[in-house]
Amino acid sequence: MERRDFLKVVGAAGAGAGLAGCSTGAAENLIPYVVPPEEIVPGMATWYRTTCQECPAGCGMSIRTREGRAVKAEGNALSPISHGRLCARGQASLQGLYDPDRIPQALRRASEGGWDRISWDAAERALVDGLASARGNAVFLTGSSSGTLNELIDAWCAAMGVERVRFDVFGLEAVRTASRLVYGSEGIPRHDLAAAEVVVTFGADFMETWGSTVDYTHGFVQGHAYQDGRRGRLIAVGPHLSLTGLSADDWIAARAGTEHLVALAMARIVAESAGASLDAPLGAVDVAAAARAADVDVAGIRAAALAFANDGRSVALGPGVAASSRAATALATAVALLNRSAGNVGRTVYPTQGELGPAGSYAALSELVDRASAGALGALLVHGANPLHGVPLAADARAAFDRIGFIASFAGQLDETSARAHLLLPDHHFLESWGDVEPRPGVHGIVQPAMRPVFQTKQTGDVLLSAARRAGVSVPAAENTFYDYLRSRWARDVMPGADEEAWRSALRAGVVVREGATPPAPGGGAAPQRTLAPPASVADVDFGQAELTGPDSAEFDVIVYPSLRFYDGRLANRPWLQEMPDPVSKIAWGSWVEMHPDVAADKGLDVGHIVSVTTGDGEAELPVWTHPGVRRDTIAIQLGQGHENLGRYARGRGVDAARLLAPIVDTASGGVVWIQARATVEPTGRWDRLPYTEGEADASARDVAKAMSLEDARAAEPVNILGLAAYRAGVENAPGGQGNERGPEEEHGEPLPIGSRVHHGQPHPLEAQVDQLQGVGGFGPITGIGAAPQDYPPPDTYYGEYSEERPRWALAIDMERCTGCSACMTACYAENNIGIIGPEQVAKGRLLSWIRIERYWELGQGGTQGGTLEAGERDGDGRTSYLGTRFLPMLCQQCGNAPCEPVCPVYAAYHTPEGLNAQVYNRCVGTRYCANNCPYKVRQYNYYTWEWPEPLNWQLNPDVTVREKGVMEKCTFCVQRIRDAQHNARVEDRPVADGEIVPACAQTCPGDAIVFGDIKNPNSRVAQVSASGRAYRVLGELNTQPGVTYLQRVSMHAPAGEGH
Amino acid sequence: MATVTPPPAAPPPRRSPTHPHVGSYAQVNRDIFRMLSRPGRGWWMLFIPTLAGVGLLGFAFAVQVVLGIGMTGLMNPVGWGVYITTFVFWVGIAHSGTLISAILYLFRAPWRQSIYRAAEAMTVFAVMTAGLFPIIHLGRPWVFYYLLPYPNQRLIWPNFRSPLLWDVFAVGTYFTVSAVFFYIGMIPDIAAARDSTEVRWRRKLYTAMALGWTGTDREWKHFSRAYLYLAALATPLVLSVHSVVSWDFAMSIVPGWHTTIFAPYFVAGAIFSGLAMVITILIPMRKAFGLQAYLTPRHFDAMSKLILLTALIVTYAYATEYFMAWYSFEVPERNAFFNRAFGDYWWATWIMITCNAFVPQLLWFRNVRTSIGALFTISIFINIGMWFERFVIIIVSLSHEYVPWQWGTYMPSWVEIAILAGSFAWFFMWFLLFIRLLPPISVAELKEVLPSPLRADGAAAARVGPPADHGPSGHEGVR
Repeated sequence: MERRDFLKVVGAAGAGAGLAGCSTGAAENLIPYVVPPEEIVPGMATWYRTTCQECPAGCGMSIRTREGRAVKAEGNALSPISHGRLCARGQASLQGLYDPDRIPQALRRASEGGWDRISWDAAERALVDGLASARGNAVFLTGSSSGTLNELIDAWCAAMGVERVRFDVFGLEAVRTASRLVYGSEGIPRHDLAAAEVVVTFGADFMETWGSTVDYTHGFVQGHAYQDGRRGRLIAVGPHLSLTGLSADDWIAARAGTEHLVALAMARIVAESAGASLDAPLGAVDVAAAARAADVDVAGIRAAALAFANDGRSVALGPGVAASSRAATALATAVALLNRSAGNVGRTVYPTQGELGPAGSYAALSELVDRASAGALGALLVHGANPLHGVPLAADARAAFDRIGFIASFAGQLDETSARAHLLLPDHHFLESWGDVEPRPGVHGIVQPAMRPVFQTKQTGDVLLSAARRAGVSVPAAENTFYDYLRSRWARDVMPGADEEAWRSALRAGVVVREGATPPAPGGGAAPQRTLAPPASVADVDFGQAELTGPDSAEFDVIVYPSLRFYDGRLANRPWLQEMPDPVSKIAWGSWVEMHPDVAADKGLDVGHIVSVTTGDGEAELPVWTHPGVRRDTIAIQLGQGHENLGRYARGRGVDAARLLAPIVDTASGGVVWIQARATVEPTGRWDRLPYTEGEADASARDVAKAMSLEDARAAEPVNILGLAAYRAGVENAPGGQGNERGPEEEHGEPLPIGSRVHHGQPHPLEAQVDQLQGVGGFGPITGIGAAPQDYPPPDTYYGEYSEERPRWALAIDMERCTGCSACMTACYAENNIGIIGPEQVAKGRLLSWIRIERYWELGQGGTQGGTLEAGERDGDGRTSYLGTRFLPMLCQQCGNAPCEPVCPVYAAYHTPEGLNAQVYNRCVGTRYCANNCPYKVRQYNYYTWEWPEPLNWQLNPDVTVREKGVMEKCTFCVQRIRDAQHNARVEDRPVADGEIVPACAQTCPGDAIVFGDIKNPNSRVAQVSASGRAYRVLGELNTQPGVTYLQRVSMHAPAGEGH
Repeated sequence: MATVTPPPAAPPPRRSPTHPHVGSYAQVNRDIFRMLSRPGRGWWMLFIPTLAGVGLLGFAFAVQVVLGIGMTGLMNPVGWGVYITTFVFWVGIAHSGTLISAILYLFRAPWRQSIYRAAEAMTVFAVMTAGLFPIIHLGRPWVFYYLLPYPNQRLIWPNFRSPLLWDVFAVGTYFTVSAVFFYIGMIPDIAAARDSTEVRWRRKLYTAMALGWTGTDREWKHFSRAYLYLAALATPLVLSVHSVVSWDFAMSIVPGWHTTIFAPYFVAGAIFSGLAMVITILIPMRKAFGLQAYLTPRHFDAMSKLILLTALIVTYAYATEYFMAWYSFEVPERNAFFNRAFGDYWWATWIMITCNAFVPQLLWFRNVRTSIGALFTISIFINIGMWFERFVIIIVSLSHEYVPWQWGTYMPSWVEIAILAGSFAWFFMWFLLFIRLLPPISVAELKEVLPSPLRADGAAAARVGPPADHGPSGHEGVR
């Protein structure tokens, strides 16, 4: 071979190999923005308002998109449901959009198993053929839905001759039935918790899944948190405390299945207090017998009832899943009677504003399963439901589904039901869809796409319209596309006579609220109408005690309850939600069984020991978690895990608790009987290192999560620890306040070094005072300090090391307003590109979360009975008792005198002129010294380089670095948002307004617990909140001069553990 | 302190009081330079495992670099684990060498001559071992040079407030000075080795290393001056290095770390552990090379007394720490110490206390101090105990800090155990090379303490065999 030939061959081969390496097989075109889309400016965010579909609550949400991709979900402030907030599930909806396990396109089951990719054309034909083969014996199973798609499905089913069945796992059928019986209205009554001073919950976990959780949490905090000397009271009734229960001020630990007896007893006491003559069923109630049956103190019930009877400023809620025994309808009825007797209807309870739209029932589903197992079902279409997971079903239900001739699923993911389908017609994710919902009469949330579809999916409405056309069936008012159908329905029903501009403005708002949809101002409605006579319609309700059944040796009542994180299990493939520790147990990823600590100790069990739980209907092996908020004769298991399918993050995690239950229908309401089983618990002798993030939940001696009594809170003066009270007294009436002054770089073109002072002529009197307050702080010499503990932190050192011309960013967190819901954690993950580390790493203690909710049990006295109760034994005996919980959101405190900064050998941890402890990721060498020296333990280390499987990485916030292994990371107060606001302000030549910068955690907090701003500006909200008499700083005695101020929790019981 | 029992009355005039069984200069040359010969099977059987251990260290480190620090057992809140523990351990080991050579030189302690060379070598190798760990424990070891202060275009300058940076300087300085001190002190011996070896490569090596030493008076004058000054320079380093290392902890605010006692406490502990390690090494060497005439019970007795003294200081420091924790009324501080004794790591604490406070009390007894077997056992206990002391201080303190929610327990992973084992292999690899390449006992200084040879009657009188209680010949062993 000649040299030239050789070179030619080598060159050609090399080029060929190189070209082959370039192609990944898929068609990828890089299209630069030569002519950019009108609304997309590279580097600038575009927001779209839509409505969250992760649960039926219908929260309005705003989606931030960058360069055409959705990167962050936030609440829509115009929505009366979300109030601009979102829960953790709403925050994680983006991971549903970018779920790597979504069904990428229409699929048909291949004859040899597996799936064939087919075109949508073929898929729609297959759907029509499948329905035709069923010869009219077809059922369309949907979840509870409202709005236009719901109407289209109804119309389509009618036209196609398909029967429609609705089923929602948490349909709250008992509440709906009781509402019909007592109030004569449909739906779940709307409860105005903001107007209620006393809230009694009978297993209604309104902070988790019961009703509109963001709305309820928001309202609850308004009514409950300490404000101006007043504080609400939450009373939890039931054998188990979920997250909602942890906020309770009193706990009436009634046995499972007796909650309705307590409710009736309370109703009787309330009615008696009004001096009414009592008819049945209230007249027949024996309070003492009820207390005996419920195994609680009469005095506790009486005290709760008397607190409840307070002129219509109270509300009773229930039942949720955790109280849905065979007596669920009786309980719901008793709750309604209780509300009526206290005069709450029309003041805190609005039965006519039924929420969450129509729901089906479990009875209908059971009937469907019966038909299927009889082989009498030709075809089944499934949309928005997954009955084969998380629902008690007959043992042969799965086999029954296999006997259905044709199953088509519209599910976006391969869940347990769609895995049995013959045809998969994956729907768009709601962030790619058009649609609307009506979560409450008169509130119309618009669902609009925030971006183009990620996969080759198709909107179900379009599929239905198209299939009808193919089948030659005419659907009433059908249009070419679902979008047109939606528009025409809105033009007809929602916004009659509205023009295109009105529609556009509705799109911009994301929600349309019609007149009469909002209740009158809290408590400002009609005078309380106490209706003491029960309506005749409740005469048929059986108020007998509900029996729980199980093996003869069964020791425990089994409570199953919904998961805040996964709703009914449909969200279990969201890694953010899996990684977020459960707000109560603080266990991530898996399942567990909750058992009282004393009982566990008696059995020789501790957290992580694996036990075998056996009911009459099933058996499960679960690790133990000891929970002081569960009765001694009760165990509790969370629903939502235990998927066989659904995706890589959900599959094989934990246990589906519904498998322990028998398919029992509550005949009065058609709902599921969730609380039905008793169980034995046998140790297996094995132990598992759980993904458990609690170190030690007893902080009494440390006083990091403080609480004070109501009297103390009322007596507390605005504090001087910030130097602000004195300051404000002098400047309150000064003109204008200081505001966030523009930084000196405005005038000088470049930032000035720390410590340089620029005065423009005479210092403003305010500035002079600020100077005085600022003192020397930081590492400068501090004089005049005593050595006694109370002399720390030294006066006037609050701001630490900072630039006098810049703001000092600070956060205030009101522990009264924190319910522990952990939405902030997920928001932080979404905003800051925090890695998902998986259960093994969580178990090793490497959770990366920049903000965590520490959950401390309160020690000391408690109980409406008074009396001193020791830790771990102040509950569960069935007595009325009290489990104090203090949620302490812990994030980087942005110390003025930060211990992390001086120890870093390479200046990766440094102090910004605005008081932030910045972390320079690409300077960090990973000595971890800063984390060792951080007393708050809020610096998180990247033990590995974490991966985001395609397309989860599309969600990454382009404004925030993605960190690699070996690098320390931490909360930045969302510095990218600070810079963004400062940049905008500079462009518009104005100061940054107070409240303009909102970190992701504060933005999403349903309780408004977090306030951010410039604490040097005395008129800022954060300065004013921080000057509260309840303010303190965690570990302030270390002279770290933290930038986060906490407001103490107010305990309705004398909190102990103070004065250290 | 027990006083050293004087040697038996009326020693023969021709015997050295410190080395009664060493008779002549020729014997010294013979016995010491005999070690610088071709190694036998025994040596290889020791050396090859150390190579394997170093390979294991390299492999484990490579795994950690490629995959991440997650391969260790580290977690939040325990950010420092076995690596920093072992780092401090080796820095501590490094202390006795310079102590013996420099401080005892300045104080003219009569028993240092036969042990100081090995102790100095140990110092250098221990610092070399310790120096691995600050790099190994970094999350991003490939940018370790960010810690070095040199002008660069990255505008990165190290933070001189960080005790970790002080560490870089303290350990770097200590290594430099002790290496120079080690080498300078060896020059006359290397020259002697050069003159006595027949092996060509050795002759070349020694010629280069001897720097042209010919043994003139002028050279000796400069040499002894230089050696004295270096000793004076090295002495404060003995105190400063471990003080600075202790400030890694004392300068932080971690309960259990943030105490003023740390500097003296660490220095005493370092000397304590270093002397134990000297004994651990010298006893096998003595046995293997038949050096009973050079390393006499008297040497071990003197070292034992120093160990006993430092053990008492260390014990006192333990007691002081607990007292201060109790006396402070500081909840986190009290809890940190309660947790040490009765928490998840109680076993580590009690290993530490047993090995460092109780076991050395045996050294009050003279027959323990002079029993080679007992001393060897005790020295092993002390080595273990001192490793656990650092483990307790570092890991147990970190595991229970201020915020109870973030308490946690750490357990080392296989990578850390492999690197810990590898560090011993690395250390012994150098030491094994050293005893075959360089005179492990100072020939020149030994000769200083021997009586000068006499022309007439010296030959007969000086011919003294090895002590009877150490075997017939004392010449078997590792060849």
